[in-house]
Order: sequence, then C-alpha cells, then structure tokens
Amino acid sequence: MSTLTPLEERLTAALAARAEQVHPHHLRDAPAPTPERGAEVVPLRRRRVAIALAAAAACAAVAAGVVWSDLGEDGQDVPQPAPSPTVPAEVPDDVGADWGVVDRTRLDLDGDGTPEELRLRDSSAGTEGLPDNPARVDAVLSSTGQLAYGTFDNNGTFTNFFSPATIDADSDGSDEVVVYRPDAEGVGGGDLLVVDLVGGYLVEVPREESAPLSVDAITDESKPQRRGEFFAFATNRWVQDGTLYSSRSVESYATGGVATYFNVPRTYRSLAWAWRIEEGRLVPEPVPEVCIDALEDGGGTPAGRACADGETDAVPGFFPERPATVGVGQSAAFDDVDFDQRPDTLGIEGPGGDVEEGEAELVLDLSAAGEQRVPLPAGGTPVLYPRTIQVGMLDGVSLLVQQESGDGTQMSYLATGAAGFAEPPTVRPTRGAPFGSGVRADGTAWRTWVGPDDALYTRVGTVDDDADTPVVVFTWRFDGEALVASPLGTFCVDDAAGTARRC
Amino acid sequence: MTTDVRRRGRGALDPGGAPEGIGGQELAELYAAHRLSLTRLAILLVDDWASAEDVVQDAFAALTTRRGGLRDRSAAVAYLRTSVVNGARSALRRRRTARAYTPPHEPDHDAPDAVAVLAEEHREVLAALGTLAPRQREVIVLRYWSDLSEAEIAAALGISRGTVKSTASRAMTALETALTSQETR
Repeated sequence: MSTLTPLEERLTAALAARAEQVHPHHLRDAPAPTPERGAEVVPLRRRRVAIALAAAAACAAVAAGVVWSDLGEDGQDVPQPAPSPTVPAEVPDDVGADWGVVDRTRLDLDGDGTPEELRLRDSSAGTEGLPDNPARVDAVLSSTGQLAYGTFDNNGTFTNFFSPATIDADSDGSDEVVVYRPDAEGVGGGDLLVVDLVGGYLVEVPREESAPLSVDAITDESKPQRRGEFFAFATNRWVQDGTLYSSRSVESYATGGVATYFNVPRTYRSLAWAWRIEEGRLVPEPVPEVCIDALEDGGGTPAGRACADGETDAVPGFFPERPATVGVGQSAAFDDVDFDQRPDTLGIEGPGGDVEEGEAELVLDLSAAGEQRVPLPAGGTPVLYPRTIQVGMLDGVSLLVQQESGDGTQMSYLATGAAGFAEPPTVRPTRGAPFGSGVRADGTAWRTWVGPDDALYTRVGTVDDDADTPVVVFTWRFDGEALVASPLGTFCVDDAAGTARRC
Repeated sequence: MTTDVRRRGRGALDPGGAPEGIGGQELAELYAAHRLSLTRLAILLVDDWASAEDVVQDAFAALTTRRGGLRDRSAAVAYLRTSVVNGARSALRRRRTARAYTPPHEPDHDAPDAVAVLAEEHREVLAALGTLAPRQREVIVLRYWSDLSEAEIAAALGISRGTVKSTASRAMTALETALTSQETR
C-alpha cells in the first residue's frame, strides 16, 4: 500500500484494533462443516437468474429464464452479491423511442464503472403543448451495448431529472436515477420517483408511503383552519453522497390564507429519512434529525445538515425596530412608492397634539398621480414610518401611521385600493390579532412594531409578561381589503433589549 | 442495481452433480487456518459477534456444497471471503428489516463485542464506519483491513474496479465528514 493519509492511518489502526479483539479462545467450539453436514445445514445459495434482456429498440424484448452459476474470468465459481430483483413486475411498453430528448444525465446504471448517458423523452419535445403519458427514459448500457428503456407516468406534464439525480439506494455499486414529476396542476407540487435498471429494463421502483417524498407541504390536521389559513409541515428532498433523503419539519407553520406565504423560519429542525431499495421497494430509513437552512432566493431544494447541539428553529429577525420619524408638518422623500421610477414625497399636515378625525392628513406627492390627501383617524399626534411596509404581495402604496395616546399606541395601515393610484390609499381594517399597542381589561397586552425587514410584527401576551414569558408573535399580510394577522410561533421577547428567542 | 447480463461462463455447471474438489481433510485445514481471520473480517462488517460467527460458519458450509473444482487453496479463500461479505450484507439487511433490532446479548468487556474497551480514537473511527452504506463499508474493510487490491476487491464484491474506486472515494469522503461532525460536537 502506498503512503497512507492521516485518515487512512486512523482507519487502518481502528480496524486492526477491532479485529484483534477476536482471539481464538472466543471462537465457539464448532467443528468444520463436512460436505454432508454443510449441505444439510446451509446450502450454498446459487443464483437462479431469470434474465430479461432489453433488445434494441427495433426488436421485441426477449425474456428467458436461464439458470447458471456465475463464473469468474478464470472459470472459478464465484459467489455473487446478494440477489436483487431481476425481472420487472411489468415489462414496460416500448413507446416513445422517436420522441425528442427533454433532459439527460450521466450515471453508471449497470455498475461497470463506465457511466451511461440516460435520456428522458416525452411527446412534448419540439411542440408547444404538454406531453402525453407516459414519459420514456433510455440508455445504451456500456457493459452490453444493449438499449435499456422504460416508461413512467408523467401526469401529463413536464418531468425532469432531479439535481443531482444519481443515487445508489441499494448500495450495490450501480446507480439509480431520481426524477422530479410535477403534479398534474403544475403549481409546484409533485413527487420524486426512482428509476432502476431491473432485468435490463428501466423501471420505477415502488415506494413505501410511510414517510414523505412528495414535493408538497403536509397539512397539520391537529391545528384548526382559520379564514383559509392553516398549518403545515415543510418538506424537503435532496441527494447527498449518492443517497436520496427527505425531511419533514418537526414544527408546523402557518400557510395559505390571504396570500401565498408559508411562515417557515430561515432554519428549521426536521425529521429525516434516507431512502433505500430493499427487496425491490423504495423504503424510508429514519436518520437523525437535520436542520434545514432556507435558500437565500427562496427557490431550489435546500439540503439538510447536522443540527448543532441545542439548535432550534431560527428566530425571525424581529429587531432592531424601525422608528416612525415623519411628524406633523414634516415631509420626507420616500422610495418609489408608485413604481414609476421617480422618487415620491410623503408628509403629514395638521395641528400639533391630539387630533380629531380628519384634522390631520397624510399628504402624498406621487410623481405618477400628483398630490393626494388622506384624512387620518382621531387620536394622538400622528407620526409616519418613512418606509414602504412589507405585507406580502404589494400592489401600491403601503404605509403605516402611529398615534400615541395615554393608554396605548394606535396604528393605521394605509394601502392603495382596486383603483390603483387613481385614488388615494385608505386606512384598512385589521383582523386576526390586536393591532398597535395596548392592554385590555382582561390583562391581554399587545404591541406592534416594524422590523428591520419593514414587516409588521405583533406580540400578544399578558400585561404581566417579562422577557422569559412565552408570547405569541404574529406577522401581517394584506389580502387586498384588510390587514390579516398570521402566527409565527411562540417566543420570549425582550422589548427593551430588542432580543427574542424560542421558548 | 446491476443489470443481470453477466458473464455467461464457459460451461454452465450442472446443479445436480455431486460435490467435488473440496475434501473433508482440505476443508478442515482451511477451517483451522482461516476461520479466525474470516471471523475478524465478519465482525468488522456486521459488528456483532454472534452474527459474525454465523456468517463464517455459513461460508464454510457453503463451500462444502459448491460444485466444480477450485483452482487451489487461494481460490478457496477468495471464495470464502466473498461468501462472508455476502453473508454479512444479508445479516445487515435482515437487521435493518427488523426495525426494533437489538443485539443478541449484552457483551461483557472481555468479549469481542466490547467496542467500549477500545481507545476513544478507534471508537470514533468505528462509529463513523458504521454510518457508511454496506457496500462502502465492505470496500473500506477489504481495502484497509484485508489489504486487498482494487482488483481483488472488485472480484470479491462482483463489481468493476472503477466502481471500487468510486465507492472507496465516496466512503472516505463520508468518513471524513462523519469524523469532522463528531469532533465539532
């Protein structure tokens, strides 16, 4: 053996140490099997191999049951690896050989050390339309020069190879391929399927359903729906070191409802499974919990990683708070509120101190629509947040005004209506949680603030809460009519220090 | 999964013929000479003393029923080694299938099951080894304990040399990752 790396040296030493724990006196007192005794007790498992060769595309497939002993190159009888399914449950139809290739990948299907080019074909290639069922995969095997092919149900939509696509789920040294199959609606869901070379055909490996592998969140039935909002577990799938993994978040998060959102933390703990092929079936094997880091761009399929000791779901970036700074008689240049690529100016006009309804006005000087005035509610002195408030899908002005009074802080959210910039924004109702800051007679206390991401957050607890008391924190989404609270979870929030943790 | 288009072999053997080639005396000598080393190989693959002994006993029993002569004793040892690897893999598969598997007995510190008495350094490496896929573990054990060449490993496992190389490479990467993960805990 050539010079060993440090890892190889550690490995060699550990294996030797373990092996040398076995001494002759440990061996049980068993005589050598005799030919007769051996034959009675443990007969040699001879492979009875029914081969099914995929013929060239022009030829019909020929399946023939043949029994033989595997021979080494020198003619010696050599035991072969443990038997695996050798005949597909159903011989695939030989259709689609003339369809165009819509995806391709390289992998070692036959385990001879030379990768094959695997092609994915469907009837949509070169057309404008959706494909018909099924899709076809095929490859010329490097070991035999024969064409292996197979078909799978594609839900009548566009499938593609997963990335990365290559796994060895049965640890036999040859590869299988993972295919992403969207659901028929084509709205982001779907599932993964694994295609394996069996008896010369490429076949979809049947899957146990005891763990998730579909590309969909899983509804948490234990939590109630409310106005279209429900809770769901986040799922992920990834391939790492030749193994296909899937995961399901430990916690469920609010989703759906008023807009397309899913309150998944930036990092979240998940149960995870490694998918193995056992007895011709794809089965999930539980592995230790993983932590999933959401990708920066929100797309793709993040891989799980080992969680650090004590690591929990990430806490949203609630702090530091953004202050309201534009007071009565002041104005400020905003970012491009009306999306015409020219700056806009906003300000507040009115008397100082507490105001009656309509006494104070929000004044918008929009480059696209000219000046607009919005009467503000009665309350304390109004102050404007000089930022566009992020409440999901934005389609116009999105502003927040706060008015302090003796017993709390009143907040008004203003947004553009269906008429767009032709009409001034209006103060919108809120639903789902108290808004602003205050205390009710029953001791319920709440406080709303603007986070560093310009999103709105409201913590709801009791008047006696301290930094170690769990409170529910909501964020807010605009549904086109009203501002609606959406729960993020339970946290311990220290307002004074501007910190929060899960508790 | 490999295709089943394997070497068809010159002259498929008659499964109905009588055992030949290995006589009782020769088998006894092989048993005396190689049982210990094969048991050590088996315990590195299955990490369970009882299973390791069973796997080796099965391998010798299988040898008694093989049909057709072996070239020489080295061919018999290679045959036994492959049988042990296959038997170990089957044992692991059965163990995985039985999800609530527990070892057959609690080992005392004198027994060869007692990984606990190994140096921590070795325990860490063996724990990392236990995270590998069965095929990866086989390649690593045959390479770094049995000291086989790539060609010998390929023959023992019934795979190509290229697959041995790629499997070993993946296994070493996985080991390194597992050990790094242990060290950062």
